[in-house]
Amino acid sequence: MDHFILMDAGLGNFVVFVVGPIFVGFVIGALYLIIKSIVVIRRELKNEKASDNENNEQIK
Amino acid sequence: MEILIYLIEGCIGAGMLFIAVKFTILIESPIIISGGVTENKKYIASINSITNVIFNVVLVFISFYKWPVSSILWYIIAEFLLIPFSEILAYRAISKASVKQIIKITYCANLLSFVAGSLFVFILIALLGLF
Repeated sequence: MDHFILMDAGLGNFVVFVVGPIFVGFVIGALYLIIKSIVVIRRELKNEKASDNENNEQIK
Repeated sequence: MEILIYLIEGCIGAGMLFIAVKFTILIESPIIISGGVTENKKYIASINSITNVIFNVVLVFISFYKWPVSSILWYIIAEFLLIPFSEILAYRAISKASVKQIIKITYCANLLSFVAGSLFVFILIALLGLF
């Protein structure tokens, strides 16, 4: 019985101290990439629109 | 000392995601540029990273529930429907190519990255199995 309790404790420690920080890093990296990508996409779309407008004005 | 170990582990977690995203961008961007969809590298990288990050995060969370059936289902649905469809919509906003061309090139790029990613994962599992 004690053996099983120790095994459970070992697994719990592994999850909390090894998998946990890796998972937190993964989620923080995901948030960083999502925010950065949204900012870049908005900027590029704005630039594209501005250059299109400029081209249209030049044609006129 | 313990905090340093946790930080290193966190960096490993973030690094795994960054490598997966970089790998996808490296495979997809040459195909999209040479296919004439768009030449905006920053836009391609951002679109690919956002779809890849959402795909990977959902894959990790979904694998807690009825593994591996749910993961395989999500892998197939995301790789063949959700990611190509969202990328087609995103490229249509910036590209001057025809919709047919965008669909063709985006699907080609995504299928290639799917095959390459699957091969990479299989090789990794095989190598881990060796040791």
